[in-house]
Amino acid sequence: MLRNWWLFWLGYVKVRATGTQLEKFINLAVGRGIPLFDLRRESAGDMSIKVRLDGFRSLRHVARKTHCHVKIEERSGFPFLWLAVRRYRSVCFGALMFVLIICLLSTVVWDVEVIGNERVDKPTILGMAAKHGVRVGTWKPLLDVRAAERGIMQMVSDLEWVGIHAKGTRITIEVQEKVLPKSLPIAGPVNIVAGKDGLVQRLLVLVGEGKVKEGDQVTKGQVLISGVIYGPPVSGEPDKAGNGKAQLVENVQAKGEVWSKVWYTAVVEEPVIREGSLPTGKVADQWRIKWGKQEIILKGPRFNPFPAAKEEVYVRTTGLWRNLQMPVEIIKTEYHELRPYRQERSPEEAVEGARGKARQQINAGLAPGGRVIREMVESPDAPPGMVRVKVAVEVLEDIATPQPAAPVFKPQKETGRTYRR
Amino acid sequence: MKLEPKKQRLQKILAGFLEMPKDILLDLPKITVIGNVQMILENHRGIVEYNEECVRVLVTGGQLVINGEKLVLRTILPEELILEGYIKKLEYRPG
Repeated sequence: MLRNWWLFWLGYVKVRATGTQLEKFINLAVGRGIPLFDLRRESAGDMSIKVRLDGFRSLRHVARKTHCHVKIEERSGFPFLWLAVRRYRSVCFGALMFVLIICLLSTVVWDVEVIGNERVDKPTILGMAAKHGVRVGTWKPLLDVRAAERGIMQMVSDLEWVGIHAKGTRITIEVQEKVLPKSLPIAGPVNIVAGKDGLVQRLLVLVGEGKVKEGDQVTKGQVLISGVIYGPPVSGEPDKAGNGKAQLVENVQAKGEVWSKVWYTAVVEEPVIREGSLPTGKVADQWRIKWGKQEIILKGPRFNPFPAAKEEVYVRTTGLWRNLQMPVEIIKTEYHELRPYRQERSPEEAVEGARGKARQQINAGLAPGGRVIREMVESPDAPPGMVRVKVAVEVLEDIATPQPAAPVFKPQKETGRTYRR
Repeated sequence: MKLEPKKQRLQKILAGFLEMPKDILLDLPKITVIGNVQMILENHRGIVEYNEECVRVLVTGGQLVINGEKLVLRTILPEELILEGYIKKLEYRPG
């Protein structure tokens, strides 16, 4: 191996020697210290010899002395390669420049992207980034990523954190926006209305005017806390129509909690004996390749091998490069074997199962923070072979739901107070 | 048995006494054969005949005849030669 390596750098030629005294030719050459190798006698007066380039000149003298004829067949090694390179100088120069330019261009930023922004728009961030050098066309070694991060954060006040990562020629600006205190979701006055029917147990008015008392039965949509506040009537008895006499004080966004008793019921009917099918765990895979409209099965069974099975189909498309796609799809179909089962239950067990199901149904509809006060379970009569369970639950929960209210404007004469959001 | 020259006899005794390798002191060939595919011969004196089936090499005290198939001289240097191919027979002919 090492010998070959040396030979490559020194260069060697393969020659064909013809003559009658080839043995003498070898002996003389060796005696002069010419390194010969890979000698191959092909016929009586014909031999192919490889000789190192530095020994080739002496070989000519030997050939003359032994009346042999020497002809070069093949030239190999670096010196000959170098000659070729010099002959096609401009081609080699071009190839070198190509590599160099590719290397140079790969140190330039080609793409800047922003991720994580929701409120702040992308051009703003990109503009700030460009001011600090993070733009398409910047030479990457000149880029001070940390300074740019700090700069963007100072300029754009809505950002909590900025991270800039460079990966290849792409720069990713990752931002985290400040979490602002919750702003009012609706402009204008807001009433608190009942989200559900219920019996008010506890009323806590934070902003607005309470319209119901504890112990009142309320229906869904009824105003509980009003956002439009009227003062006491200016004089005399309140007008039946309510026009003019009751003085408008303020339009506000009502806030408060209305804890009420709410009832939920759920009825579940179930057969006593349960039947169905379960996967056994046996799976048969089928691979197909789809080209246009033709489909070829590569591997696996042609049809569903099980008497009962569930089919799952996965389609894989081959993404070639970026947006280009090949019109070939690989489709994998999994057949999961199913086994029918039959669960014999006593009526009591069936009732218990149905009750659990009913509770689950109710729990899914409960608001967070609700507390179950009372639960009643009934099992009314059911058709033969079935059980029926009725679950009624009494829950204490906050039914307050904000709803925009029509603002009422004060007459122009009464200045001093202005409409406020 | 012919009496050996005086110098050679002395050399032999010396080689035995000093436990030196005989190929160095007596200029005898050293032959290393690897299976039937390669033969390394050190201390050769020149090639007498060379073709694909038979190679005859001069060594001290005679000739070495190698018979085989597709014999190729991989390397040949003033002191050493490497022969490759399918070696069938190695014969030492005192000359």
